[in-house]
Amino acid sequence: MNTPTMNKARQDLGKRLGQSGLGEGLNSIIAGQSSASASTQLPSQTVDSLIHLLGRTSFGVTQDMIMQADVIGESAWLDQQLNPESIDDSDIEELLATAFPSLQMSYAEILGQTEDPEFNPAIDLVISAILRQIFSPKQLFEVMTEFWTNHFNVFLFDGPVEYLKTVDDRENIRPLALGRFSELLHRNARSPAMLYYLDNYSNTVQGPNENYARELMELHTLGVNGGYNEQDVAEVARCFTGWSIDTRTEDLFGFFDITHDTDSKVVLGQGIPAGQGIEDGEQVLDLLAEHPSTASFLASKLCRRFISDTPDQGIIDMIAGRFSETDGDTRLVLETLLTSDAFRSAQGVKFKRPSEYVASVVRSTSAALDNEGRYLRLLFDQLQILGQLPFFSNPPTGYPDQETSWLSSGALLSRWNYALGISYGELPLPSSRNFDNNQNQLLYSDGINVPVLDLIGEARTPAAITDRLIDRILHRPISFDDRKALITHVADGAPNSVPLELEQAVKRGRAAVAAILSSRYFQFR
Amino acid sequence: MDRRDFLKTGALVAVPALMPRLVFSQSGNTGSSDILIHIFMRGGADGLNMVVPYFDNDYYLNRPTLAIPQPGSSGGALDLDGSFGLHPQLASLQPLFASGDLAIVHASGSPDGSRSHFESQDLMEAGSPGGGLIFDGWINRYLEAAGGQTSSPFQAVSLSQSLPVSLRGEVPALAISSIDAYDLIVPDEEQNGLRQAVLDVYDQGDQVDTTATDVLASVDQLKAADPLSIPVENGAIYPGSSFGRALENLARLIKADLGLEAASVDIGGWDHHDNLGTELPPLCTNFADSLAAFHTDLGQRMEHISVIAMTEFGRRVRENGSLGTDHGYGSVMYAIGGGVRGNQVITQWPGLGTQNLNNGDLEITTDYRSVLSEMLAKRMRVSDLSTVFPEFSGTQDIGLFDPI
Repeated sequence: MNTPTMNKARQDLGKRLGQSGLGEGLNSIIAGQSSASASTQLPSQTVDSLIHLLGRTSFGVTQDMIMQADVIGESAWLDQQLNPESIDDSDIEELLATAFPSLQMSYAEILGQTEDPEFNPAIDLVISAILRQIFSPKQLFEVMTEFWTNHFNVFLFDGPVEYLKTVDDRENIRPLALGRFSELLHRNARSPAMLYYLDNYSNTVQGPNENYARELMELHTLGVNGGYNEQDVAEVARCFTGWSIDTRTEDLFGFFDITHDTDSKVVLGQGIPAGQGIEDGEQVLDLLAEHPSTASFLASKLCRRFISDTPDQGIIDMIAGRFSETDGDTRLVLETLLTSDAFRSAQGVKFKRPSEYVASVVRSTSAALDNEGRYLRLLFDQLQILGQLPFFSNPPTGYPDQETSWLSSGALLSRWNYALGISYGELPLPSSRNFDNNQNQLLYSDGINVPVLDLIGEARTPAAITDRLIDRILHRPISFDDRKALITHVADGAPNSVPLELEQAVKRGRAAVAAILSSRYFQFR
Repeated sequence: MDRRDFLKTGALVAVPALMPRLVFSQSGNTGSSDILIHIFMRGGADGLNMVVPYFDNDYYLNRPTLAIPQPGSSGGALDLDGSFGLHPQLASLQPLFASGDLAIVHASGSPDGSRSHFESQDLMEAGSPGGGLIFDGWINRYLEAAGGQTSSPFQAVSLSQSLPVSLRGEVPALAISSIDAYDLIVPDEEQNGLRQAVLDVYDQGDQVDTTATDVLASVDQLKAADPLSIPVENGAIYPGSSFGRALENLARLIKADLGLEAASVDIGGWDHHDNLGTELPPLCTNFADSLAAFHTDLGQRMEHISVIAMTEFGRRVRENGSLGTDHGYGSVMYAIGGGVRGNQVITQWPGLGTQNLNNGDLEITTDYRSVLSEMLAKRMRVSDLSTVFPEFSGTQDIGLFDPI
C-alpha cells in the first residue's frame, strides 16, 4: 500500500468519526441481541456441529445466533442463511443508509460530486463493509459478498475506482452473492470499476491490452492451470476490444464498434466468427462460465473457504459436479457443501483471516462501541495492520485464504495486541500505530468496550469466571490442561473456588477475556 | 534448554533488561557468510525501461512512446557500460554501480512461462522446478542447508506483516513490519500471567504454537537490543515510503547484531499495464533511493551483505494501447554488496527482433537460480545446492560474485 493512498483514506475516515447516531444505533443492535439471549437458558452442552456451522458461515459466533439456531434447528437456520431475503437486516441497513448517503447513489450522482473534498464514497463503502460483517444478521450472505468481492478483486484506490465501486458493490456483487455465477461474471465484465482496474477500458483493436483477458481466465474462471495458453490470452483480449467505460450511459458501460477487432478469433479451440461486435466477449464469458475448469477452480476456492486449506480432491470434485449440474447456482452449491461430510468433519481447522478475527472479537464479546467513533478507527487500523482492509488488495489476486499467508509472528502479535487492548481497555499503542501523530489517539483501544460484568453474569470465583467466559466466547469446552492454565491466570494467586469481590471479579474477568481472545482456540474457526 | 523452556522459567521479563545487546549475537553474520537480503519487486517490473538496452534499435521500434531516450538526450538513460543505461529515476544507483557494489543481470528470470503474478512469484520464491512439489521457500532451505536453526529467533526476518513464501519452511522466520510496533502491549502486572497462559495454551506443536513461542522470545530480545536507539549512519537519508522504512528497520536489525542471516523486503506496484511513463518514475526513485540509503547507512557492513532484487517477470517488449506494457518474460536482477563484482551488466543479450522474442517477450538467457546459486555458493559457502534448488542443473557461476 503506498503511503499517500493510505493517508488519504485515513483522513477520509477521520471525517466519519463524528457521525452522530451510528455508534448508538449499533449499540442498540448489540443490546437487542444480548437481551434476547439473556432471557433464555442455553443448553449446557451445545452441539459441536452447530457451533461449527455457525462459525464457518459467519464472521464470528454470537450467543444470539446460537439461541436462534437452537430454537429453529440447524438445518432451518442454514436454510434461512441461504435465503437471506427472508432475514430482516433493516436495523443495520437503515443505520448505514442514514450515516452514509453515498451508498444509495447512482453513478451519475456520485460522479457529480467528485470535486467536493468532503464527498468520499470510498471510505463509506469500506466502513459499511466492516460494519455489515460485524452486525448484519445475514451473515452467510456477508461471507459470500466478501468471497465474491475478493474473487473479482478491484483495488478501491486505483484511479477513479473510488467513485465506481459503490454501485458495483450494490448492484453487481451483493445481489448475486448467492446467485448464478455466469450472471455475476457477465455483470463484472461490464462493471466500470473492473473495466478500469484491469485496463479493459483502453483495450482496442489499435492497441490491445490483455490485462483483463488474462485475469479473466486465470483468476475469475479457469484458474492458472485451467487449460489456456498465451495465444488464448491474446485472442480473448481481442474479443474484448471495445468494451469500455462510457460516461453517457446509466451504468457507465459502453461498447465501441470503432475500437472493436472484428476479425475472427479462436478461444480455447472454439472459433468466433468475424464480423461480430459485443457478442465476441459475451460468447467468451459463456464459454468460460460453462468450462469444467471453472467449475473445478471455483469448487476448490469454495472448499478452501469453507472446509480447509487442503480439501480432499473428492469433495472438490463433488462440489465441481454440483456447480456444473446447477449451472453455477451458488446457493445450491453452498447447500451441498455445507451439508457434506467433508464439511462436518473439518472442525476448528481454519485459521481465521484478519477480517474474521477482528469481527469475531467484537461479535463474541457483544462489545459496546463508543459514541465518538473511535471504534471505527480502531477497527480500520486493526484491519490495516493485519492486512485485510476491505477493497484494499492491490494485486488482482485478492486476499489469500490459507493459514500460511496469514500466520506470522507479526500477525499473531498484532492479533494479541488488538485483543488485549479491547479486553483491558485504554492500553497505550506503540508510536508507529499512532498514525495521526495525535496524542489523544494513543488511548483509543477503549473505543470498543467488553461488557465484562454482563459476560461473567453471576460468576464470581476464578474457576466459574473462566468457565463462563470460555462458554460465552469459545462456545465449546477446552482441554483440561488449558482450562487449568486459564484458571491459574485468572486466579492470579487467589484460590480457584473462592468468590471474589465484585470489582476484583470484573478485573479478573478482563484478564480471562484477554487470555481467551489471545488463545489458540480463538484463532481458528 | 530450548527457547520454550527458557520462556517458561518465568525469568523472561527480568532478563532482557539486564542483557547487553551483544549477548544475542549469534552465528551467521560473524563474517563466515554474508547476510542475505532478498528484495521482491512484486507486480512484474519492466526491466527494459529500468535498465535500458539503448544500443538495440528494436527497443525503440517497439516502444515508440514509452522508450527511454539514449544517454545524452533529454530525459535519457544514464549510461552504464556503453550498451545499457539506467532509467533516469534510478540515478542514485549509478554511484553504487560505478564504485563496484552493484551489478545487473539482464534478460534474467524464471523459466516458468505462466505470466501469472501469483504462479510466477510462488514458483520463484519456492525455488521450484514446477509441478507443485515444493511448498517451502528457497531462503528457508538455504538456512537448512547451512546448518539449520540457530539459537537466534532473528535468523530469518521478513520486514512485513506476513511471511513471504521464500522464508517459509522448517527454520522459524519472523515477520516484523516495524520495530517499534513489535511489542506485546499488556498491563505490567498482567505480563507474566498472560504470557504463561499463552504458552500453556499454545502447546500443540503446530505452526501456530511455535509462532506464539517465537513471538514472546523475539519481543523480549528485540526490546533488550533496542535497535531504535541505533542511529542512521553516514548521512544516509531513507525515503519515507514503506520500502524505505522497511530497509531502515532492516539496517537497524543488522546493526543490533541479533543473529540475522537472511531477510526479505517487498516493494510492490510494478504492474504497469497503463501509464508506465508517469507511474514508473516515482517507483524507480523510491526503489533506488531506498537501496542507496541502505547501502550508505550500512557502510563497512556492506562487505558482508549481499542484496538481490528481483521480480516475477518482465514486461512485453511492445508497448500496449494504454501507454503501458503487458505481462512479459525476461527482466532484470540487481545484486548489491561488497562481494558483488560490480560495475557490469551481465547478459547474453537475446535481442529484441521479432524472431528473438519469447511470445513477444524478452527471452531469458540467465535463469534466476544461476544468480542465486552463485551467491549462495560464493558468499554463503553453501557447497551443496541440490536441496535449495532441486532439479536445477544450470550454471552456478556467471561471474557475479567474488568468493568470500
